[in-house]
Amino acid sequence: MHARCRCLRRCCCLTGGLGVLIPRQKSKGGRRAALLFGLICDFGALVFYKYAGFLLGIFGAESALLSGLSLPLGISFFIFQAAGYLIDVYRKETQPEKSPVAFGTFLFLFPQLIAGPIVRYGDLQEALHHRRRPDGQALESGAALFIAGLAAKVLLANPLGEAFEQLRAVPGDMACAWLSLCAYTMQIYFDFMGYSVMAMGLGRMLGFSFPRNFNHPYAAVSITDFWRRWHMTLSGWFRDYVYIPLGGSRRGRGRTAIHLLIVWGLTGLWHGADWNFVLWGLWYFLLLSAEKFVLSGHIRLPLPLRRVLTLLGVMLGWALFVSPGLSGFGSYLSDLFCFRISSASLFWFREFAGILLLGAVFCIPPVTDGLKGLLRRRAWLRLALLLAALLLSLASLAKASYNPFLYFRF
Amino acid sequence: MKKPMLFFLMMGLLLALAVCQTALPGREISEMENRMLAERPAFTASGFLSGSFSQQTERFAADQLPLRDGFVSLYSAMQGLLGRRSVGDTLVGDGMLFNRSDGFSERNVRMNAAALRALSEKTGKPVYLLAVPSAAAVYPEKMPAHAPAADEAALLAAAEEENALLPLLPSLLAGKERGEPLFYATDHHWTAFGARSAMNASAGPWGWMPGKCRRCKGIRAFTAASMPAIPCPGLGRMISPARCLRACASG
Repeated sequence: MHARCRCLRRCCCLTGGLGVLIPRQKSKGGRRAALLFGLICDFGALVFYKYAGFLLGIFGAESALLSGLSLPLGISFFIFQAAGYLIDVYRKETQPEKSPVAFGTFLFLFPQLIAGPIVRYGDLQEALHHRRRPDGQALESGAALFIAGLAAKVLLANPLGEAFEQLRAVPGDMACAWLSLCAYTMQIYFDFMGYSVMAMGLGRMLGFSFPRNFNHPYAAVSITDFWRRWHMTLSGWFRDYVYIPLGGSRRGRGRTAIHLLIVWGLTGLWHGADWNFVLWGLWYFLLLSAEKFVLSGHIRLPLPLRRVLTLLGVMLGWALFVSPGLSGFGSYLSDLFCFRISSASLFWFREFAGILLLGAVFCIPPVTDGLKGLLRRRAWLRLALLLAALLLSLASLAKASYNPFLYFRF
Repeated sequence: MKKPMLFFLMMGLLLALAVCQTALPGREISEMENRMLAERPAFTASGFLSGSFSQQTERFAADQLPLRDGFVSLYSAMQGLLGRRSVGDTLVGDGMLFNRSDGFSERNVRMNAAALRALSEKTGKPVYLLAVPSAAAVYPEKMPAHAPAADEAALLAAAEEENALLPLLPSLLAGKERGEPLFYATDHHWTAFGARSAMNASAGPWGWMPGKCRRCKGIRAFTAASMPAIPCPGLGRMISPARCLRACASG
C-alpha cells in the first residue's frame, strides 16, 4: 500500500485505539499521557508530511528521506478531526467509539475528507450508529446543495481564477492588480464554499448532517466578525482546542496577545508550509489585536465604512496568501500601489467585468438569501434553475481546461 | 411525502451520460474544436498509484462526454453572455480569431536571432531568418479594442539587428492592400496568398527566380531554375534540388 495511505490508516487505528483506552485509565495522569501520546503521533505525522521540508529549509538542511515525499490529500482536515476526537474523549464530551467501522467512517468520510468542513465526532455519532435511510426531503435538499456547490465552484470560482491569473500576468498595472485581487478574493470564497456545500449535499444524501462552513464572510463588519463567518469549523476548532485552553482573553492583555499570536501563527501554518502563510496568519494577529486592544470602544465608524475597511484588510491578506513567497508578495504590493494604468487594463476590465460583477452579486447576503427564499417558495423555478446550473456546470467541465485545486497544500 | 424530483433527474442525467459514454464508440477528433480527443486510458497498477490513470480518465471523461458538441456550444454561449472576447490564448476579433502574441519578448527574439548568427559564423554558411508576423500584426484593426499584443515591428527590428532578416511584414501588408485574405479566419495558419507573400519575400535572397504559373496565369509562382545546389543523398554530390528529386525518385 502507498506510504501516504499507510500513514493515514495508522493514524486512524492509533486514534481509534487511544480513544477507547483513555476512559479506561484510572488516574488523570494516565489519561493525560494517553492523550499526549495520541496528539504527538497525529501531529507528528502532519509535521513529517507537511512541514518537515519547510522546517529543514529554515536551517538550510535537506534530507534524502523527504525527496519525492508528497502530501497526503486533506491530511490537515484528517488530523484535526482525529485530534479533536481524542480531546473530546479526554474531556468526556463525547463517548469513545468502539466500532472500528464507525470510527473509520468518521475519519475517512469521502464528501468532506479533502476540503472540509472539519467535523466533530459528536456531530456524526448519532448518524453513524442509527443511520436512517435518507427520506425524499433529504435527497431533494442534498441534491440541491450539491448542484449549488458545484455551480459555485465551476461557474464562479473557476472563471474567477482564470481572471485572476490573466490579470495578474499584466505587469506594472495598478488597475489590473486590484482587479486580480478582487477576482482572487471571490475565487477562494466560491471555491472553498462550493466544496463545503457540495460536501454538505453529498452528506445529506447519504444520511449525514455536516456543519455549515461559511456565512457571507465578505459582509463582515470587523475582522473578528469575518472569522466568525469564514471557515467556521476551523476557527471553531482553534477556539475550542487551542485559544480557550490557553486561557483565552481572561488572563490580561499581555497573555491574550500571546494567545492570539499562537492561534494565528498556527492558523497561518495550517494553510500551508511556507513563510507567506505564516505571515498571513500574523497579518490577522495584527488586525485582530488592533481591533481588540486599540479600536474596540474607541472609534465608532459607520457600518458601510466598517464593511469596506474589513474587506480591504481581508483582500490585502489574500494578496499575501496567494503570492509565491515574500518576493512575490513584494511584487504584488508594488503593482497594487504603482499608480500606473495601461490601455490593456481596459481590455481586461471589459473581458472580466461580467464574471466579476456576477461574483460580487453572489457575495451580497440579501441577494443570495432572497434567491434562496424565492426558490423555496417556487418549486418549479427551483427545479428549472438548478437543472440549468447542472447543465451549465457539465458544459464547463467538458470544455473549460482551467480547473484548479486550491487545497493541495492544506 | 413529495417525490425528490431534482434528485431523480440529477442522478438520471448523470447515469444516462455514464451509460452512453461506456456504450457508445468514442470519437477521435472534434471538428468543432479542431483537435484530437482523448482516448480511453489503459489501466495499469503503476499508473493508478502515480495518479496518471486518474488524470487520463478525467480527460477522457471530459472529451468523450455524450453530446459534447452541444455542451461546447452551451459553454461558448455562456462565455459570450459574460462578454468574454478571449478563450485561453485565442482572442475573438472582428470576424477573425487571433493568437495572443504578447508572450514574445524582445530578449527572447534577440537570443534566438543571436543563436542563428552564431550558427552562420560557425558553419560559414549564410543563415536567413524568416520571422513570421502573426495575424495581429497584419490586421490590427480587426483585433478587440485594447487587446494585448506584442509590438511585432519592434521585435522584427530587434531580430534584424542580430541577423539577416527576410522582411516578410511589408510583403504581407502589400498583400493585404491588394485585398488578399492572408490568414484563415479561424486559426493562425496563413492561406495560399499568405504563403505566396512569404515566398515573394524570401525568394530573392535565395536566388530563386519567380515565374508565371501556367494554369492560373495571373498569380506568380516560382521555378527552381536558379536554386542553389544541395547535397543529394542519392548521388552523394552537390546538385540542383530538381535533379536530386529526379535522381532519388528513380532510385
